[in-house]
Amino acid sequence: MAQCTYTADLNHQAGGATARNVKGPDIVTKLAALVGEDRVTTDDLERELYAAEIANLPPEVVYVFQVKPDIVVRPSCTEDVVGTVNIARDNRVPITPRGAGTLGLGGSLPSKGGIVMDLSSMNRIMEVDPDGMTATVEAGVTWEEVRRAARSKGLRLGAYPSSALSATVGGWIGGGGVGIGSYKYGPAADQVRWLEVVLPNGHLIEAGFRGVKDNASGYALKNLFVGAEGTLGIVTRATIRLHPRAGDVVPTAYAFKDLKKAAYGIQTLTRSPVTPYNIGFVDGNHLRHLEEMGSPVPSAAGTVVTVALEGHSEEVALCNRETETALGSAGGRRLSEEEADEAWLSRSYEFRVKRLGPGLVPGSVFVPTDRFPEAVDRVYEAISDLGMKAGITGLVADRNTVDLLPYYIVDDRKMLKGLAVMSFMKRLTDISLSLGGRPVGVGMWFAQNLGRVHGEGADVMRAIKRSLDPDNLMNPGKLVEVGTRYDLAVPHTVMNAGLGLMGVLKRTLPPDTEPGETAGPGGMGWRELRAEGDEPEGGKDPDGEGEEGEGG
Amino acid sequence: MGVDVPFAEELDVCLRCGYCRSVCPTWREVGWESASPRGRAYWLRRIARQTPLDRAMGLRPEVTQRFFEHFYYCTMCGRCAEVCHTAIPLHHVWESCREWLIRTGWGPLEPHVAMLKSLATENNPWGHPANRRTEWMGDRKPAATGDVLWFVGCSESYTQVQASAAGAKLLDAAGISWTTLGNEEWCCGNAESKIGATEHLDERARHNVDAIEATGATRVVSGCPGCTLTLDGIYRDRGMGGDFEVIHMTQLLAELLDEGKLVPVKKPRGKVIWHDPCELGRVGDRIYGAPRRILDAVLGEDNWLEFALNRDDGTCCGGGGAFKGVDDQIAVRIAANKLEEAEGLGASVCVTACPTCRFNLNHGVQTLKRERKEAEEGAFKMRAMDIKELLLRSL
Ligand SMILES: Cc1cc2nc3c(=O)[nH]c(=O)nc-3n(C[C@H](O)[C@H](O)[C@H](O)COP(=O)(O)OP(=O)(O)OC[C@H]3O[C@@H](n4cnc5c(N)ncnc54)[C@H](O)[C@@H]3O)c2cc1C
Ligand code: SF4
Ligand code: SF4
Repeated sequence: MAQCTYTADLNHQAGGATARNVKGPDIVTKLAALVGEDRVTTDDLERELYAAEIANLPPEVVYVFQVKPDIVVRPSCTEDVVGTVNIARDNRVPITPRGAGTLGLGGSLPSKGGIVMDLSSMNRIMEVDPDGMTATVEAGVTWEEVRRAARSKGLRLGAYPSSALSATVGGWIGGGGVGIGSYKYGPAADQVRWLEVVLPNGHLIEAGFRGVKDNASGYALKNLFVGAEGTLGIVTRATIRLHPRAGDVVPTAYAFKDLKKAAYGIQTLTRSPVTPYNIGFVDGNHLRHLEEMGSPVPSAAGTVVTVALEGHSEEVALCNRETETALGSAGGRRLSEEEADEAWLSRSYEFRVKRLGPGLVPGSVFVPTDRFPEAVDRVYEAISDLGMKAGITGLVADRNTVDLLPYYIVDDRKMLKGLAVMSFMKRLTDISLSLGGRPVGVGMWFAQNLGRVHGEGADVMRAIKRSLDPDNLMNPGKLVEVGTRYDLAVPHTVMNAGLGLMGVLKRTLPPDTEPGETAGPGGMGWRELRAEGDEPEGGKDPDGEGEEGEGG
Repeated sequence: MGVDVPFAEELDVCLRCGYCRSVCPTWREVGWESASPRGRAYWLRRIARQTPLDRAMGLRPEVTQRFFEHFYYCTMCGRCAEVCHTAIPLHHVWESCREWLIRTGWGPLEPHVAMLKSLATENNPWGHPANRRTEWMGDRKPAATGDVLWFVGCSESYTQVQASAAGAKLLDAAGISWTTLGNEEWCCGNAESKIGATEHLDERARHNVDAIEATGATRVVSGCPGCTLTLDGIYRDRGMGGDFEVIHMTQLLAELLDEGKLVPVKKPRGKVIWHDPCELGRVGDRIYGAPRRILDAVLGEDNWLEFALNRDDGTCCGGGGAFKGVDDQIAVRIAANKLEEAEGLGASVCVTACPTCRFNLNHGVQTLKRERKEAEEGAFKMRAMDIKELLLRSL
């Protein structure tokens, strides 16, 4: 890794005027002098690759948004980031931070070209402090790497996105979501104690405290950058909280007749005083999709709820009993240990059913736990209305909040069917808002929703954005504004009406699935997630041999 | 309208989750998306599935020089396939697409041209004379037939001769009568299949299979996982398999230890850590138990170290996939990273069972020794050796 010798001019002043794409060899030359020749490119192929993210974009998108960057930069340290931000601002070039690019919704794609800054090469773990129980890392480190580093010191990373294998620390902070373990240890914001952030004006600030929590007087500065989707600054380093690790996570699993029954069981569990580590679920459609792919599945399961337990052995035992009571009372049937293990090990492989598409569009909405059963009905209604092949997975974010993750399987090689993508998302948003919940991510595609979600609060957010980024260069066209390549702001009503129209169109197409498929029984079968498994690492083969010669 | 790219249907399934990218050893060093499995998979799909819109936008997704060169920034370690969210058999995709690139006139890459030339004339990739293949044996005269036919492989015949010499002594000590194909042993073709230049692979397979069958051997052993994988899996996939069993030397040695034909009596010095070769493990027959049984027998159970990521999740040494010729600096850096991890875990001897790993790990050891010396950071204390050498030291 290149040594950083560049010293930041931390008092660089912000310029005025509006953003314009200024391309030119001089910017590239300056960037190369700053970060090194091999860390900046204008190569066409590379720029195409950075114009891609999860899920195939509706092809029409490129007419509206300039998702292809002009320049890609890979900083190797904080100073590189400061310098790049300064160069970008001097030249009025927008800049879009990017981790692994897994957020979706166009979050880490530019809307007006400019610079994409790929932070994944900033991947040093600066320190794991077993006494202070924290890890300080660069923003490009993956959550899986943090998890393993913590583990090597006998500690536990509280929560992580299920995409931890690739998702970066900066990326999850940017998205601000919930993940595996959030039920016990909180959302992304709670994992982070301290941030080092490069502001749009090139200033480097620290937010939060490395050694103590920040819940005292003062605006919650650290949390301002959590969920900001990279619009307020670039996170370069973070201090992550770690926890005592009493032992492996103990997964348990329960089969239900259908998701609605499971929803009642989950409600009961959230009202019990115990706090499991994680509560996740997959519905009968999902199980059936797995079966369709040839995965072995437990018989007569219309939904599987996986409750993972962790902590002191007595805590685990108590939690286990309470879970059994809560889920059992709602008709849950306890699955075998093997089935529970498999369900747990596959927690990061929820989208493997994409194979049936071969396209898959994931959605994510929060609904209040007390309206969970109602939400289930409504989502199934939307699925059947739109004639989609879809399934529902999800996790319980905290006692009040269920993160519903319905997905839609589509043959994205057929352009017309791709249209339904957007209308599906709109329906989910409508459902969650009407039940007192909210859509989770916003990104580029759903920036028009900010006002619907936050009301007048959205104006406050825009004011914050303007004050920190008066030139509107930090990830423009996201979250707080719909920004097209032509600098035309699309009125929210127009965008939403357009999405509704796509839904109407989709309904005129033949359904993707035969009727009745949407709520059928199914089974379960899991691909093992070895790299992520919580079983002891570094152990020797327990039974000596047996794997030889069989091939894999 | 699209181009006929191998495995296009599989590439359709890619989610672009990037799991493959974060575990890829070459991407870690290069850093560009084009040198990542995800980037490759995405662009291949774009090439295969060109749309009318691509045209309207003035786009013709195609192979570019950068794409082609970065396609070979890959050690074929198979970790991408192992973690793939949607279970795409990625290393098969890479192999087939390399063939496709060569077939469509893009390759071979310059550094591979010399290898292929040497293979064509000397039947080994390193430019050594074909008639000196058995020089490593010295005066030893293998039997004309034997219990096992030892397919020595190019690396252990020409460069990693300490490993083969140890192997010969071990087989002798166990009272095994063994034979080789002598100078009639041709490179198995692993290098060609990795490069994608498979034009002569069937010819090569025919020669080796015929020669082995002519000895009447029913059991073939090799210390090179690349050879065992090729003689068994790759030949058979091409319908060229022979009428014999192929095993890796670690399997035979573990058997000999179990039968008491080899009895370790001394503990070799140094703290050992075990490196799973990719082609012995997840890319091959997932042989994880046999080498560990040998280590247990030599060192005692729990008296040697594992890397934090091992077996199916083991990390690559950087030496495979005909990558060393493409960018030796990065190949060696990957080895050095692994060795520094070993050092951090308290190891002083990194043991493996693959001559390619042995070669590249040793290269990494030398590099770290030099770098530490230059930086005056103290000595780097590590050796890399084959498991046969370790076992021999214990007798
Ligand atoms: C299979 C799968 C499972 C997922 N599971 C979850 C889950 O359980 N929970 C969840 O919340 N999400 C989940 N996601 C969504 C996504 O993976 C996460 O939000 C993830 O944390 C994003 O990380 P990333 O590195 O890919 O960020 P990117 O997608 O690259 O970026 C995310 C946003 O943050 C910004 N950003 C990136 N880096 C920085 C930085 N250093 N400073 C400031 N802004 C930055 C980007 O501009 C973008 O707006 C999942 C996605 C997939 C594909
Ligand atoms: S892991 Fe598999 S699905 Fe994910 S980006 Fe790589 S190839 Fe695609
Ligand atoms: S085989 Fe190994 S080196 Fe090649 S792309 Fe996959 S992970 Fe990277």
